Amino acid sequence: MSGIEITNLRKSFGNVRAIKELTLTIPNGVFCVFLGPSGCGKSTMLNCVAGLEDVTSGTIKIGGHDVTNLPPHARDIAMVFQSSLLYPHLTALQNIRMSLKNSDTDAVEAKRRIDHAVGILEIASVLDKKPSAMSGGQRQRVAMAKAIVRNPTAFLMDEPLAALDAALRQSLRLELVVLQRQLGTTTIFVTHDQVEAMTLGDLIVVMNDGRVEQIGTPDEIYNNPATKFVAGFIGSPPMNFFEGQVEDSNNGPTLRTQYGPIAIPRHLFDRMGGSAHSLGVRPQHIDINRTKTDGSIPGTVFAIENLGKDSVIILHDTAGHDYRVLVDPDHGYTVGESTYMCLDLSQAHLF
Amino acid sequence: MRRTSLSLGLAALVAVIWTLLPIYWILKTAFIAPVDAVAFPAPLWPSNPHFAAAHNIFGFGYTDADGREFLPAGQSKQVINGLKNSVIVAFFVTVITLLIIVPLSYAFARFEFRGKTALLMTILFSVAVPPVSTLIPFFILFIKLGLTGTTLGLIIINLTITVPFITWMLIGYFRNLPAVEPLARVDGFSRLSTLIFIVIPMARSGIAVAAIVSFLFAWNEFVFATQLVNGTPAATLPTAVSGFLFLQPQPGLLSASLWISIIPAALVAYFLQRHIAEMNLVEPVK
Repeated sequence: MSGIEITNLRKSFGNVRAIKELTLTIPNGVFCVFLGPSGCGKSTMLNCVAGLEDVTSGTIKIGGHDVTNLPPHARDIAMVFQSSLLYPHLTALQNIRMSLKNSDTDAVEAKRRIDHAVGILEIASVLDKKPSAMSGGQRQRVAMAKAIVRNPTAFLMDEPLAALDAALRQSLRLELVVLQRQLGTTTIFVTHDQVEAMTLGDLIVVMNDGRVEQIGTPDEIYNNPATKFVAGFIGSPPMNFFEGQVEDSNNGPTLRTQYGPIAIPRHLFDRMGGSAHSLGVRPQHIDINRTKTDGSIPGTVFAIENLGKDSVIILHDTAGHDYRVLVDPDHGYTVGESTYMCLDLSQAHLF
Repeated sequence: MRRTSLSLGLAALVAVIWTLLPIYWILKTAFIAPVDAVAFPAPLWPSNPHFAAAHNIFGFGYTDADGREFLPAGQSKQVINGLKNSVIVAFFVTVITLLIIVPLSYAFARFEFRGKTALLMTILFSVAVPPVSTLIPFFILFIKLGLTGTTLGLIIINLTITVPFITWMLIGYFRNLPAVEPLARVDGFSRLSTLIFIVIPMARSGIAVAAIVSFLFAWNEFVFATQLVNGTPAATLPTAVSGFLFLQPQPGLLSASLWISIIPAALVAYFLQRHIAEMNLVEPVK
């Protein structure tokens, strides 16, 4: 049985096409993350699935039922909103009860579900508190309890962790994953934070400009980015791109850059053909040296970021492009020094 | 730090004395025997409390400890009738104002619709027009409609002031409330039931303040009342009290009638004041 099936979905606001065309199947029980920069349509997408926005065309099925024209509460979903929004004037318990107020759940069943959710999330001590008296983590748990008591086919979450501080975000992320595994409920989670997406998702949908760029597991997205956008968006520090023209000559395929030709492995060239114009290399796959070697690219040290375990050296070429290189913290380079980058092309990508 | 709080305290003290001393001066007169009230220098506080005025104003006679007899005030009927009319006018103005402005300002705060800006400007304009400038047109209109000398007429004219003013005030309040509407929709509330079961309870502070403002406005309104209902059975308390000013000097009775007009307003403000603080402090859950 499938969890959520979205077919040929389009959504326009007047002349603005927020979602251009989207088809996606999320298998039952999968934690799916919609990832993309702000304004890419991921929240609109979620609102369409939730029924808060009408779709312009296309169909949405949840748990096998066509819900395209149903109101939100008839869709068998539960939603956690941005920053774990709750009714500010109600206590935690009243907030949770609101989820069942307009359903035909009888009182005994409602109490059983609420007790169950309160037990799982360990929020018994905050039930009488209003949201303003709770910590960010407690609010998040109450919002989750409010979602769980509906016993839905799918959870929809719209950046629930966005407003929290980094440490709390990390621990709540883990809680969320564990809880979702435990319940086995299909989940869509919207975020613009790639770390959140990589750590939470079984399946990541990378969106940009109202379009899906790639759908895949975190591994696939990171190791085999389908587009230059995905490659540049996922990974921190971000991937470096070397622009040029790909040619196949007698000596094998090369990328002709302003610094001279860079030889490209045959398997990369075969996959992309001659249409590529950009070579992507992750910061950990570049070495820097003080001496020029064959195929190396010159760059001046512009800034150094010390991350503790590693350092990121940011190099500028003559045209002012940034390149980031991950090195050991005892690298010994100083700002303003002239260096040469050696690319590990076995791990490179062509776009 | 100490110096700031000291000067702040001094400034507050000056402000309090400045505001409250004249009010205290007239209010204490209600409990001073007529002879003492006209004495010079006047007593600073009623050291020898005297309750003639408090009885006379409600139409009761009073005999004090010295055996002097004080007759019921001639204006007691007007004052009691004024009190009754004021309660009626203030009550209906408050209720009708709330019934209109809550959905109105909520709609302005949360929905986009055609002509919204033009309507908002219209409301702002009716707030900006000095109420007195509408007095004569209203007077002519009310004469033709037979609404002069009626509480209904007074209620209508009060609403023309309270509705735009408080709508304008509440729009900003509703805008600052957290956007729980999608949450309510997922919970299965319709637009109307969201307003009734979620938004109104959530906005109770703002609505309470709106109620205070409209009650106090209607309770204190004097200019329209003087023109439309003074001297008729529909006269409100402020007009009835003002009648004392031109009669023989009876400061005790004037003071007692002022007590009657201040107490209900003070009670309303006192019981709803925590909402005024809450309305300013309201911190949407982020």
